[in-house]
Amino acid sequence: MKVVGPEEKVKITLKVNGNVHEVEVEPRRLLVHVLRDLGYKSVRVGCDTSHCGACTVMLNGRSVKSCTVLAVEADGAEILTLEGLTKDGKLHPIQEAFTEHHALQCGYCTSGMIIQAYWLLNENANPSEEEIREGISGNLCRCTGYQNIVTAIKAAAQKMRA
Amino acid sequence: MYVGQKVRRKEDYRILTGNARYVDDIDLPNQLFLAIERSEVPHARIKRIDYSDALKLKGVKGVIVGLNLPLEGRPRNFPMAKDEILYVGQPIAAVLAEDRYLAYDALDYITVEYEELPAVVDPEEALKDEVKAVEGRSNIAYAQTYKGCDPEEALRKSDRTVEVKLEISRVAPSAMEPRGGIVEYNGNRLTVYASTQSPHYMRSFLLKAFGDRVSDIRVVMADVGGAFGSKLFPYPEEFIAVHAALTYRTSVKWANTRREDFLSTYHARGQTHNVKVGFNKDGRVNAVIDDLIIDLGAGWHGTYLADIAATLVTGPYDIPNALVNVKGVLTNKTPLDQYRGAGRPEAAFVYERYMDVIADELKMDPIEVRKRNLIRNLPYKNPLGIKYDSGNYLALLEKAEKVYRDFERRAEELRKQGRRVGAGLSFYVEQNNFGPWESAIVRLLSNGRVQVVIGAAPHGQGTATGIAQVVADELGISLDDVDVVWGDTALISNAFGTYGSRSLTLAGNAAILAARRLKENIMKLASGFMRSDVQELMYKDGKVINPKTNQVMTLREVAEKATRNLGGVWRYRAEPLLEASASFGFDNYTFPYGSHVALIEVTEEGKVRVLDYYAIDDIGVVVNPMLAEGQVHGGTIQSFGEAVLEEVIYDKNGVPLTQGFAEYAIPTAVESFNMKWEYMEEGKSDAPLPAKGIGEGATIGGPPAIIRALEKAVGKRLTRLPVRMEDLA
Repeated sequence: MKVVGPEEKVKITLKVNGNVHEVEVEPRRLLVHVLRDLGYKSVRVGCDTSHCGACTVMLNGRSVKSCTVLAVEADGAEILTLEGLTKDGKLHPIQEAFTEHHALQCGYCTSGMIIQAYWLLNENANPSEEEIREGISGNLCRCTGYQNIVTAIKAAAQKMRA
Repeated sequence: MYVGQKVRRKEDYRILTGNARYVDDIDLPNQLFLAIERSEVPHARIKRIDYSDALKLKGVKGVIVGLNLPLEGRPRNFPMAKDEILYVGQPIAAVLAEDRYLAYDALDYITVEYEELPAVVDPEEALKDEVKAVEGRSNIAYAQTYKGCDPEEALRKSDRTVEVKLEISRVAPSAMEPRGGIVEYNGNRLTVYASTQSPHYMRSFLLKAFGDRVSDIRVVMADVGGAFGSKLFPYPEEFIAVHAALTYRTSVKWANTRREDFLSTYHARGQTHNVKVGFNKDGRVNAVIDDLIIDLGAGWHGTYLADIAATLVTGPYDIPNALVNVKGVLTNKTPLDQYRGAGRPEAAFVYERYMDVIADELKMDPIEVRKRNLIRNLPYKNPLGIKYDSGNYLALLEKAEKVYRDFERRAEELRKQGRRVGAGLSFYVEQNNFGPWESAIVRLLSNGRVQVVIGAAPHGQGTATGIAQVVADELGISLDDVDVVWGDTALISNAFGTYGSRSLTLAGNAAILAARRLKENIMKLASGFMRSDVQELMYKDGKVINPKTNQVMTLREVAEKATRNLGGVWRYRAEPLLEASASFGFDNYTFPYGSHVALIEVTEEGKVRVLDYYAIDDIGVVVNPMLAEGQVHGGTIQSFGEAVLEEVIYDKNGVPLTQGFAEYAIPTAVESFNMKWEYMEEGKSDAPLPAKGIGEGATIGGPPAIIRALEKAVGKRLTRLPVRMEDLA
């Protein structure tokens, strides 16, 4: 076990959207804050209690709330944030479906919501409405009332299966 | 024509790709982070604040205490408690440190010695004025009477009377982005990056407080992660951050945690109505008398919310006699201000509850009772002086009634299977387009693109897309050639912002007027280029045409010609003024109306499940049905939260028990439901763009329909917002 003294930092490596970052962090520093410091601003803080999901990222293939992960726990991990979803300026089918079905308003929850949808559709290529609602229940949206988000995820699933 | 079409949002791409920038996403060089020490007790006298240990910490640059600034509607202890703590969450001290973590660490090294005072928590207790809540003032901070005709006499003469006490709890607006801000220090000129609904109003109130210390403050609205009314009016943190930047001569950022947001962002609603209604056996209502108490918390800037609720107490019904006695009381709670709907949901809950109560008392059909009282001729002046403008209330009610009858039939069938299911309908009239006016500038850029600057400050509604549609139509050009920008006091001189369902209507009409002026400028300029008299020319589809000579100039050609020849001399017959501005306002408010219909089940475990839901609105011309429907979806789910899930709760000592999303449940996708929305376009305003606004309608129409459906499901009268589990047993 490594013992880290007060004010001492730990060197970690994160692979974010394919970019490798070596950073020195305090052990208490949350992954969400480290990602934001690295410039991945789509990862946002909406609560302090892992209820809202605005900070959702993919970590080694699983969706996690990065406000509930210490950066040191993510040492060596591969992370995907919303910034990594667009390839060569082309929107991912989930992003495309979100704008087509007006599934975003203020946009604050959108990055976490899309990443969660990405994970959901990785797990289940053809989810029912109930499975979608259950699947995004850890991501709060105050603007849309979710109806269009559910529609968009359904539409994206269909497109991605085709 | 783009108006009336479901056009995709222009705002989306940058959000979808992670390029949006909310305030906490912005960082400035040499920025210090400001963290706020907040009160943990509701009412106390401060004896001593010791922050010497905090200053010893590495990375801590300063501590601010005792900052008091005068501001209308606020106590003396604003923006900080200097000698008296007034509510849990009130700022007492602020730490400036090099890093967010360090700043919050330092708060643990501040000691506040205080002597606790008894807290005033219950608004009805506050009314007795025995224990004072705020700085020894009378608890009764506001009293107002609204009276029309002779309600006492009309009540006496009625066949029947009924009395009901309606309680509307406090709610927390809970935008997903907590409040925050950055002050950029540039000597005596500051730039404030803000999460706000009104950069111009923020500039005004900050200049009023700091005008002797700065020459100007530019306010730039960052992307705003939801507001719902809660980011319109001034907050203590904004003053503390500006003071800190000026004192320490450096840029300062602050960003609330969610817990801080629950404690400090103004709560809303918080009204109790004791209503007496006099009516005849045929269901006609003669008089309404309402004793309204509003729980203002530790400030008195929210009194207008009671005024709005009071003056709409007769709703869409032709009730000739009304009396409302408003009392605004101070309590040791977070100050109260607006939240989506702002007074109108409270009014609708009252008038729609008493309509249903009367129906039940008379064993009449609730739609029939409404029809007997519904206003048939518009315009109509209600007994408290509010003038409703236009529409056909009966036609809308009859459309909603068809859905209601179907829901009722389905409820009946399910009840026969032993399930607890009910149907409810509400009808509402809304007052909106709170003014006084809004501004816009329309510009033709050198490459022929059109830029519209609006004074409104949208933050998710999609107003930029709506206004682009309106301007593209007015100029007869492609929507792709119009960009709408906003949110910076340096972009447009004077403006108001986004609140009260006003932006598309007021800023949209201002943009139309400005576009018309721009066309005139372009015609004059083109007449020189085309060597024609301006009278010979016509404007059509983005082109200036001389029908006699068949000469044509596109907007792009005019713009290019007017902006080229760098280094040349002035050779224009008319001034090459490629922009125009305008302001627009109404001499009255606008009054959309609508109806919500709900089919709801209360399960055996006491859970509320919405089985079906329908809403219909008449907001005049609907510019973009996709955007309008989005507002209805979101507003309806918020109103479901308000009716069933959300309540700010204080214990009897004044400690808030709802300090996070664990205790204060906003709807998730699981409790939420799908709905169907329709619209009518009969109730137009008389503006060039005869639209009225849809931002708040659903939070007004939702709660009474939901509560009625629940009432029918469980078979007992419900009088509270939100309903509690025990009410549904």
